[in-house]
Amino acid sequence: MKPNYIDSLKDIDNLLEFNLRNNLNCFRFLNNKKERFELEFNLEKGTSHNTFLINEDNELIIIHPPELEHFESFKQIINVYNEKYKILKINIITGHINPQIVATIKGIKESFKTINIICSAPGKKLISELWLLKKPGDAESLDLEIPNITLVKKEFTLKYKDNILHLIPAPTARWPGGLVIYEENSELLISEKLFSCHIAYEDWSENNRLSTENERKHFYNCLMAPMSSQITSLTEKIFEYQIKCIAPLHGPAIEYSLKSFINDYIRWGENIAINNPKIALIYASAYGNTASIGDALAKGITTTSVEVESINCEFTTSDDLIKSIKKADGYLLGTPTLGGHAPTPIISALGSILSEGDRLKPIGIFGSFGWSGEAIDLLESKLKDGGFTLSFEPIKVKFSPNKPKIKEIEEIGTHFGRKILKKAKQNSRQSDTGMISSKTNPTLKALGRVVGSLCVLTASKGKGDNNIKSAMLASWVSQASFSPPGLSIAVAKDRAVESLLQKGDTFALNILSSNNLKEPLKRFSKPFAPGENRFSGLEIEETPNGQIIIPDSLAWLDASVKERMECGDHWVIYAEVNYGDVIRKDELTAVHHRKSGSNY
Amino acid sequence: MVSSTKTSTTKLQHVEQKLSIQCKDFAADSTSIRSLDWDRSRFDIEFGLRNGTTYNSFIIRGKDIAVVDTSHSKFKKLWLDSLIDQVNPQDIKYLITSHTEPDHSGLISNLLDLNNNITIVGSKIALKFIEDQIHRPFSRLEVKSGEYLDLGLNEESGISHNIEFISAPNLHWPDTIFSYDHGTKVLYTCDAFGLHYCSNEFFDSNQKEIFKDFRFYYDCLMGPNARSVVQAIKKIDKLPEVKAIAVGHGPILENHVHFWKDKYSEWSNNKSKGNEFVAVCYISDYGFCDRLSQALSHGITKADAQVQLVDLRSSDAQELTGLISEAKAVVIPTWPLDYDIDLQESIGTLFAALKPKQFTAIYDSFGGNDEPIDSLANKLRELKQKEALTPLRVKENPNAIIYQQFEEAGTDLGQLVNKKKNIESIKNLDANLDKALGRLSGGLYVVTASEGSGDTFRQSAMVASWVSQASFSPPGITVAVAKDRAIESFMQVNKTFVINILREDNFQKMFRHFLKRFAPGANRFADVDIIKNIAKGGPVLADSLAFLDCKVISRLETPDHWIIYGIVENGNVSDLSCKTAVHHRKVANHY
Repeated sequence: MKPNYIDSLKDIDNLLEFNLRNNLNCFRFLNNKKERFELEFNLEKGTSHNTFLINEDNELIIIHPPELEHFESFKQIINVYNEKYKILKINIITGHINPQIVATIKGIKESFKTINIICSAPGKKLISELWLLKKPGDAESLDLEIPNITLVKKEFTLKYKDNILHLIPAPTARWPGGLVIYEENSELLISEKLFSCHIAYEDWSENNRLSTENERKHFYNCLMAPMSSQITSLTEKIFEYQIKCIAPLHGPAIEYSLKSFINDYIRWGENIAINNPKIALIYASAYGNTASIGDALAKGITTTSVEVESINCEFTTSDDLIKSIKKADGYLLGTPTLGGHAPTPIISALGSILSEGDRLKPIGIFGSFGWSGEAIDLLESKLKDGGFTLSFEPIKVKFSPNKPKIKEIEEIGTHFGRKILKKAKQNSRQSDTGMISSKTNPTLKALGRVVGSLCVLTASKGKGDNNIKSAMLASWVSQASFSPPGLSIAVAKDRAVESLLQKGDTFALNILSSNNLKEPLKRFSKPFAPGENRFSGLEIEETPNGQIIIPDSLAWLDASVKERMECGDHWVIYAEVNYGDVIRKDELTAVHHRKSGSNY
Repeated sequence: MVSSTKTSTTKLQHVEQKLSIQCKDFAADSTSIRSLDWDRSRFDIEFGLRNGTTYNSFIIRGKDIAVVDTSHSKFKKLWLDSLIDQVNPQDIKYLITSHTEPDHSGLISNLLDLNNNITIVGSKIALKFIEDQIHRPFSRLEVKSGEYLDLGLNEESGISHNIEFISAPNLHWPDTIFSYDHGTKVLYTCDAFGLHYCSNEFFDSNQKEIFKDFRFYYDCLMGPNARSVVQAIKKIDKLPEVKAIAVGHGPILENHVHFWKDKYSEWSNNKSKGNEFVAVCYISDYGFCDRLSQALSHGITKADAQVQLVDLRSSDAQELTGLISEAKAVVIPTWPLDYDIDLQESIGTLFAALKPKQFTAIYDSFGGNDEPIDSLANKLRELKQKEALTPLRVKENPNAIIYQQFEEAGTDLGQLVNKKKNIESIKNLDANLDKALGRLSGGLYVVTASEGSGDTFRQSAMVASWVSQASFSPPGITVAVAKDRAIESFMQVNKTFVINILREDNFQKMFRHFLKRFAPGANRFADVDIIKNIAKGGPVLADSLAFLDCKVISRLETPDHWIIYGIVENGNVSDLSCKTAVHHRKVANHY
């Protein structure tokens, strides 16, 4: 389906309109901005927000209003409807709730008095808080009366002449107010965050099942994986409806291969193994910034195969919280600072950890703040007094983090995950002789005979403040094509540099010389602290694409990632070589001979 | 003798159990009868992925009723029963034959037994083939591109079924004709857009799962006719809209019509770039000509050279002269000694069109009464043609080994034709980049693979150095294999192979041996010490330092290689004190 336009709206930039059926329309707000800090925007494809409008007589139903940045366009849309249908009443159905969306609702309320909001109970709580919340110093904001709110306690049906809407509460840790909406006549499922992906996509639906797989999976890994069991049971529940089309909150609709797609979604969750160690990530978030830090930590942790259970303590009963604390192999606690204090639910969560938590298990704290970070200081001192040892320096971020900071937080997550894994292994090794068998296993010995050139891969991405650099030692590399010249390289999923090697990214491969190994081996084989500069004190040069050449290279190659293939615990990356040169013509490439295939 | 008879009967019983039928209405007044052949595994290259196949036939009910294609004769009872279930045979007015290969036309005679008044609709060549197949009189309607057959209005649905025909020669037989129902917007294509994939899934809902089968089928059957595919797609694009493609093999394409069609365009346009091509001649419906020419063509396209298949029975003189004189190389089959006047004319035209010094190659059709291949070779020598390959002889019914030999010969021919082009592209490589990439060193390995048993047993090998570990858990490796390597077809997903790791102190002998240029189909292991039974995937070289027995999990395509990821299921080291041989290069434009 190509967009069609109401005449007066066609000049609005970044707005697409799709007529789905009779009086059911979808407005898509595009955003091509690439430099957003949150992890889920890492693929840099922009994003889009789908808002649905239905007009029945003099009533306008708005499903999922957009964020404040699109308010001006949205206001024009409402005006067009108003002129055409003489709107007397507006019904807003919203599942995803954040300060920007509440701001949009406030804006509508300014010009329309008869507004009713339909949302879930946790949604109501959030809206009520955010409605009154003012950032300090923001004294000018209007004192608007909060609209009437209709609660969706359990699934219920709104019947209109032409549309029958089933409202299904879909609470998750990250989005406690979640609502999934099913329109019976068109068999359309408005799935909200479920099945979403961040792409500024211009067609109504994806051209084929594979075209956006990469983006949807990325979205899943960043946001859904830490609550995969909730997501799986929601997906299974949705499976029971007769669905022709899924329209998520972000990105294109899905019309083809729905069955296999939904199965994939369930499978992505299953791949997170069941017997892995688990971390309870407990947080509250006012503006979503603390939650973003939590997402980055979670993403870093899950690359190590440690599982994360994300718990929004504002919407979790203390019984459930205590159960999760008892099951967990480690804890993370995140809090915003509101008016110099931690929110009440955080205080009670802290109490639960102090009373039920195991002091030998790793713990970390984090949070975003506006003017002071008292809440984080409070957590730190209480936990230390209670006998806990913090695994890393508390992460304090003023407002929202930038890209390098997010990357650093992700690495902290990975380190934290590895720490948990190590502990879990120590516990199991006493009863198991697994390590010995891997040394004598003839298959692994034979695999160790596969040799490779020793190289240092370096990657640099983003400009100015958002620049991120990373490096790793690599020997699982090989040429892979002649024309155009290309190479393949295997990168462990939990490597910091992995996230800088998405399709389209550029990197340099520094091939090491057998005469000059010591220095680079020493530097790049030691573990780096999160965010640590890998190149400090080195006299680096740059390739024509601005990638880093280290001084000890025998030769360097500048290459761009073309394809990625998932191979067990690694990604195999195929890259085309753009430039290259030999620096030390008379020396020989360092080749890495190993005794076993169970280590690098 | 006795034992071989035994095995063949058990096989037969096994096959009989695995046949089933599926009927479903898939568009207005249109029903499909799909014959599900769960484990068909012929030698034909296109069944390489071994996922079985289906033979799909269709019923369209306008005022008149038409059946589109029948089924394989092994479905005789199942198919006829289902058909009678759906429609009274006396009511069938037309049988549209998209293409007359026996797996679709096998039951025509049985259908006529039920109703001798059915009019058979098809292209001129198709009708001629049917004559030769069923040897009985029948009423016929010859159709050409752009002609219509109006089945009239179905009063129940209110839809009128007017069928338009689109000729699509060489997809993949010269007789192929597509039918487009203007009432339902369904396009019936028989072999084109098909895939050998058997499952109960009626439609193409699992795109990801079937994609590799779709690609493989294309590479085997359609790739060699890329030019014809481009022409056919141009014709399809002129149709109002295609809602579904009712294919003759595999699931009906409904969910991703654009995707599948775009892929055909993309692949075919890539293959038909440039002007140099090999003309591979064959004689349709004679001997094993058809399959052998396909194996050859598949091999040629693996070397990234272009092919044009030419049917000597149906091409007209002008077309034939044009194609032969423009071709870079011409491949000619042995023809039947008792040829008819048409074929005689075509062969005359072919020889007249050959240019001196043009590359030629010849092969046995194995039709039972062939012109001897040596006399054909002499004829060409007298004409001063350059011999591109030694004559490809066939002395028994073609089996897997012979098809492989033809495929490899095709690749040799493709490389010969492309030699100049490749040298040019290597020269174009930036010299500094080339030297730097050359510094990426690897070990030295010999990849081996074997497949089949008894008569169909075959094996292959190649020297590799682009090998690298790829994962710990599960332990896995990647190998980059050039697309034109014979061993590439052994390394499909789920198949197995062996990596032999060569010794630092003794690699020259194996290295040189396997680097040799082998004649197509030649035994790579003659005079080599091998250990047969320790690895599932293939022979282990007695002189190697270690071996890895691997199973292919996935494949990633690069412009000229496949990166093949395999998990290591088994392996061992023969000498713990010795190191792996390492391959250092100065430039990256060769291995």
